[in-house]
Amino acid sequence: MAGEPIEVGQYVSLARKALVNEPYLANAAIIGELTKLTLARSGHSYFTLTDEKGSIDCVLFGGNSMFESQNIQVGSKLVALGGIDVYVKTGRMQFKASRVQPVQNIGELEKARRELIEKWRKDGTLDRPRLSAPHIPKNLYIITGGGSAALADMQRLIADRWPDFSYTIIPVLVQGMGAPEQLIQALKYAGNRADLIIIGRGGGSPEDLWSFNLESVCQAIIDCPVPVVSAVGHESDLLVSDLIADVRASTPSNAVERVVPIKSELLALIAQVGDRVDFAIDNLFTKKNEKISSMIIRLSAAPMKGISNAKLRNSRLSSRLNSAVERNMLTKKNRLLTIDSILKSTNPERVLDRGYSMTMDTDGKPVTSIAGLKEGDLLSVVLRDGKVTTEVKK
Amino acid sequence: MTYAEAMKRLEEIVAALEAGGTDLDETLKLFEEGSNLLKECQKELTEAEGKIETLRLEDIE
Repeated sequence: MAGEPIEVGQYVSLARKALVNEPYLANAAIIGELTKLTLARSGHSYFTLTDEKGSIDCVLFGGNSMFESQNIQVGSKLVALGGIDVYVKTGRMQFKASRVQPVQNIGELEKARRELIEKWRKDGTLDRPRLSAPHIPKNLYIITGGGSAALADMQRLIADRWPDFSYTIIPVLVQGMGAPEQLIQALKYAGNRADLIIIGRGGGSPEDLWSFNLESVCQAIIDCPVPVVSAVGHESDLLVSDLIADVRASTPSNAVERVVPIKSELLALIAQVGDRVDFAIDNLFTKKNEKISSMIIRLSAAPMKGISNAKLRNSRLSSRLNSAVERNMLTKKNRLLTIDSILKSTNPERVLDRGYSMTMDTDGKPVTSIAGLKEGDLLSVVLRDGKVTTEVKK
Repeated sequence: MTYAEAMKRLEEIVAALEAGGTDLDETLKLFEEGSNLLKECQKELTEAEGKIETLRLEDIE
């Protein structure tokens, strides 16, 4: 049996309590067709949402302006956010809405998307010249959902490619009410500060991605003075933003791969170029040295008019020639040594590290030729990690 | 000069040095330019480093 009868009011109150304490009912988004709408003088809106299977009366306190600004009329498809309530006095159940938003169906959206693409194809926007991304972005801005998986993926990938890489994140709503406005606001802000912008989000339903098909958002990308990378959804999603951005990335991770270089690769490249410069210089100097030495030998050995070889060897002319060449080489060599010390900081593999050594006389002057050396002369030889003194044997 | 331009110029310098045929002064000039470009490139790398900043939309109006 049902037990003792209780008062109606008490019963309805109990029912209300049970309903509003049910989290699933208390916090919901419901979708349906607007079949009745009263914008009361008080500013409150009373309306009914209906679909094939059910119907519910709704109220949105102070909601008139929300209906008017979005031009919502009877017959529109609506999403209402809010929760269930029961008006105890009449026992009527109603949905207490906090927000309403009209829903376009995907057919209408798709039509708008096609029209937009067609318009931009005709006026040349699609073929406009694109900005190219800097080789190394120093002011990268990422505009995407705060706390999203897409952001986490991008951050992880950047850290892998270039630890300590600096960039700025602007977290925004990427879907639903307010998303287009936030995307545009963030783009405008970043446009004045960044040297490269990645805007995007992870995968989702076509409706979820729709902000990136909107003319207002895409126009903001077009108007942006710095290069913009569009990185929306999965590989197969093609959005209008992909068509008009400066760089199209298939996914957010792909955007990072395209614009953030791998630091170790850059360093290796720089070191390699440095090595090649070093090696080429070594080569050239060895050749020039050999050429000059052989010229002196040939000159000394050449039978010259009126002067015997022995005479020439001992003549002042020979020593003048020798010292002039030596002096010349010395200046160049010293200059080279100075430059080489500049290069030390840039090129990790130095000349001495490769097995070359430098020979100096007791005055500390570089010895570049065997000319002028005698048995018993002391020479110091500079190696990678220190100096040794040697004696000329023969 | 951007990083890309510097790397391109370095390639030219290395190619010229490797080919030889430049006189001593020219060689030293190229070497000096190359060394400076290498330093520039490395500096460019450090300029891309720093911190990760997260802005709040409310604060950027």
